[in-house]
Amino acid sequence: MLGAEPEIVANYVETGQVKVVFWPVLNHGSPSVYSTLTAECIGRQNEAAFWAAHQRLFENQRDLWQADRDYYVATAVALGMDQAAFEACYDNPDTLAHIQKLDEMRRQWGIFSQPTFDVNGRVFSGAQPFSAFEQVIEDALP
Amino acid sequence: MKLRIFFLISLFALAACTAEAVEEPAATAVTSTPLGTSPAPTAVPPTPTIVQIAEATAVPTETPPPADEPAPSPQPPTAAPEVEPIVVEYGRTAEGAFFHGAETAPITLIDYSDFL
Repeated sequence: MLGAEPEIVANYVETGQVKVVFWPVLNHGSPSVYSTLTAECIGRQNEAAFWAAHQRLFENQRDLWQADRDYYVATAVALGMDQAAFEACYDNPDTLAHIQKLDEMRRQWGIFSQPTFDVNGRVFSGAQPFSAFEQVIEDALP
Repeated sequence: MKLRIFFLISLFALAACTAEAVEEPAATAVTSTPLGTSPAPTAVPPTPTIVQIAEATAVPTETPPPADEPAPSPQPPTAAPEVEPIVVEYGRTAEGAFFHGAETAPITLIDYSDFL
């Protein structure tokens, strides 16, 4: 959703009309797992920083296929996180179990492809331009 | 005997003159009311008041400012009340997924994805 996300945020999130939830989908193996772990551990230190990590990881998604632990630690430090706390979270099996639990939940709900969007129960898949989100959101607004 | 008669006549004359000097009270009308009822109260006419007309006072007129003083500048229009900005919240759902936006927003947009 990164392409349309800035417009969604400016037009609907900042106006109080839409709340955006990011639900992890681990369809791409290790790159999906470690990048999601990184965002999770950054968010545990600072919930607002999760969204900064979200944007940063999306913008550098080409690097994620080859990224290792040091890459993700450097990403967390660059966003102002405490390195020791981040590494403790990143290496904790409970953190991995948590994101795997969320991943399993979406499978149980029938969400298999990515990206998939749910706007107040209206579900659609595939990358969409802002105009598509705008139409769905406007239809759902009270 | 004659003297006694003269005395009595004088006495009668004196009594007659005294009776004429005394005014007899005016006869008042007596209204009869039926038994068991009380007479309706009679309206007492208001005491007439003397109204004094106040003298007309002069209406104060604005005196033009002296020529060398600048005219007062017009007041700016009243500013519209400020609207409180929406506070974007950051948090986690009950399941632990991260969200941003007003928690009371009427629409929830869930993005099922990773970063690839």
